[in-house]
Amino acid sequence: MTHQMFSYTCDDIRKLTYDKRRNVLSTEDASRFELHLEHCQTCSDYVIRTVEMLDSADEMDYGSKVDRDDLFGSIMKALDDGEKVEPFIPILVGDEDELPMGRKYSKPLLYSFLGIVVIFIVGFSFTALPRFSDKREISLASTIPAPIGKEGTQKEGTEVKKIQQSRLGGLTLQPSPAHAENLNIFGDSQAEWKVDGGRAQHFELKEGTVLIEYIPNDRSSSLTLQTSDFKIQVLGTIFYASKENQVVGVIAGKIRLQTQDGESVILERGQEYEPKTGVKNSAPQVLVESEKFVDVQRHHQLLSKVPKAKKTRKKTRVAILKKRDLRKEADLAISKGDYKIAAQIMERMVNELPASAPENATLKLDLARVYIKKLKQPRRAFGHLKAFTKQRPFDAATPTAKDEMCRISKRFKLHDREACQE
Amino acid sequence: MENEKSNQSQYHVRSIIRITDVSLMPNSAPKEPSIEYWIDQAVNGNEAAFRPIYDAFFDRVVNHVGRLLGVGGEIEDVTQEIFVQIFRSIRTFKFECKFSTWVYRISYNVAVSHLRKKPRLVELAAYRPLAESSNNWAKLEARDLVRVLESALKQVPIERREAFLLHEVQGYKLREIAELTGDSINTVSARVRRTREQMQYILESNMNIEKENL
Repeated sequence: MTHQMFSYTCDDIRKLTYDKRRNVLSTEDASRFELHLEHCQTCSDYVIRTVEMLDSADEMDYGSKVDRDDLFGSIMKALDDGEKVEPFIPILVGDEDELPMGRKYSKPLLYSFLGIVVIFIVGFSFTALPRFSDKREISLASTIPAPIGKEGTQKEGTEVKKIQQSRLGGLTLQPSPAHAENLNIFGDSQAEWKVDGGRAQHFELKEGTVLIEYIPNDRSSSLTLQTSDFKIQVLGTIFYASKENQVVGVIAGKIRLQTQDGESVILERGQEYEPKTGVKNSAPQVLVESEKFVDVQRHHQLLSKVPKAKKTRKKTRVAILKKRDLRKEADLAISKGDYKIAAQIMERMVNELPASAPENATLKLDLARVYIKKLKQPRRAFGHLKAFTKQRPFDAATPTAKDEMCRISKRFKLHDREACQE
Repeated sequence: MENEKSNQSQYHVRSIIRITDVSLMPNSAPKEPSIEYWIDQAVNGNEAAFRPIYDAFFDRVVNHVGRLLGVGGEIEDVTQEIFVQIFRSIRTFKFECKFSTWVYRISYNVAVSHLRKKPRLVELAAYRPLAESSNNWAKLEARDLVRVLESALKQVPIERREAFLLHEVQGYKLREIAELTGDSINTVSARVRRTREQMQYILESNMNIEKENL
């Protein structure tokens, strides 16, 4: 290990982290501490995480969700009632009482609760209505570039224009105007989609079948394709996907596919995936017919010329700042009751945020909640819950997420081995 | 010159003390009495003093309970129980220790007694995003980190958890913790040290597993 050359070992640093935060290290020790961090990224990450964690715990206001006056009223009532202490009824915002794991109240308590809710709604309307009257419209149209595909117009002079239309696996596909230079898209008459994003492009297939050739701009770029049934991530490949037939297949390269059940599958050239049958070999004519649309050899040549990513922390930070705006819009959509839009925005964020970002796991949990509680689509929540429990095995919310997974698995007979594990 | 200034400031302080003393005269209507005044009133049976005492100690109690119990840990119920016990037994307070120490001990006993009961599964809603605000994202990140701490501390015995939280999160000195808990400084110091070691092990394991799962 390179850090043995410094006075402090990694273990020393871990032990001294608390003293450093309390500022009780001597000047000399503090300098040695800093010197080690400059050369050891792992320790640096550990120290930053620990310090931020303790600072956050110090700043956490647990009383913000408690209504002081109501709680005081309950205390005085309990004192008046003598020995018997009535439990304080917390004010739950929204319809949390519908939660499958929600508390069950007796009728008198429930009526008291409803009374409090009425008072709360009146108060809330005074404080929050001005915000709701904000004229900002939240829709995908405002956050995502205008759709291409059927509504788009074909660019002249592009290579894809050479093919007017041809058949692939029994379907007639025709070239569609590319949203970006690194995308060749061929769709059938039903095909409808939206593309957006920069380095991490997002392709939402709404209808029909498409064949896509994707060449990343650099080696850190990726394309995510999403339908209601699966999500796939590609780094540079040729593949086809059909919304109606629920099928994804690979012509060149590899793709990572995540099913609605949260399973992750790698597909290679000549393989297809269908939810009913799983992974299987594509029909031989599909590969042959695909050559009418794309040149696989040329594709590989282009891939070999893809430059390395010029990744800087600053740029990542900028990207995360953009996500903050999306998060605000998702929250606003939730506050307006437009959960479908909120879920779409959150899905985008989950796809675009790096898996290592701490917000990624939280978003999955929040998104799962929207699907379960608001959109009544618990099956869609399953994959997010599963991913969350894998990313955060020690999180305090993990037992709850697992419990929900088990419930969904039983209800939809998903036969997922991990769903009901202790 | 300096002596003159010092005399002036002393005179100023004395004036304030005199004015405050006058305002606390029993027959005068106190505008903003000190918390000591209300504690004294409550000990002598004046229930009107409960609200000012509740307001003065609410944040301290609810945050202390929240850190011990964690998110979704029935913080309201336990806070209610603590204040009920405080007000029920306030007449027995003998001024032998600080009132805040007395409140702290009741809070600790009630919270520990609650933790010994069968744990309940936390509602998913407890982890919902915080209310919309300009720094919502920052709160979301902080919430994540606090959850990591809560989860790690759940694997630590309550006495150690308490000492660690008071020392590392709330910034109490070891001597102050010893006074609060009635334990020796050596005991408190050992608890903090062992919890640091255990936390190090837990956090390192978490980071390794999270990396593997990416």
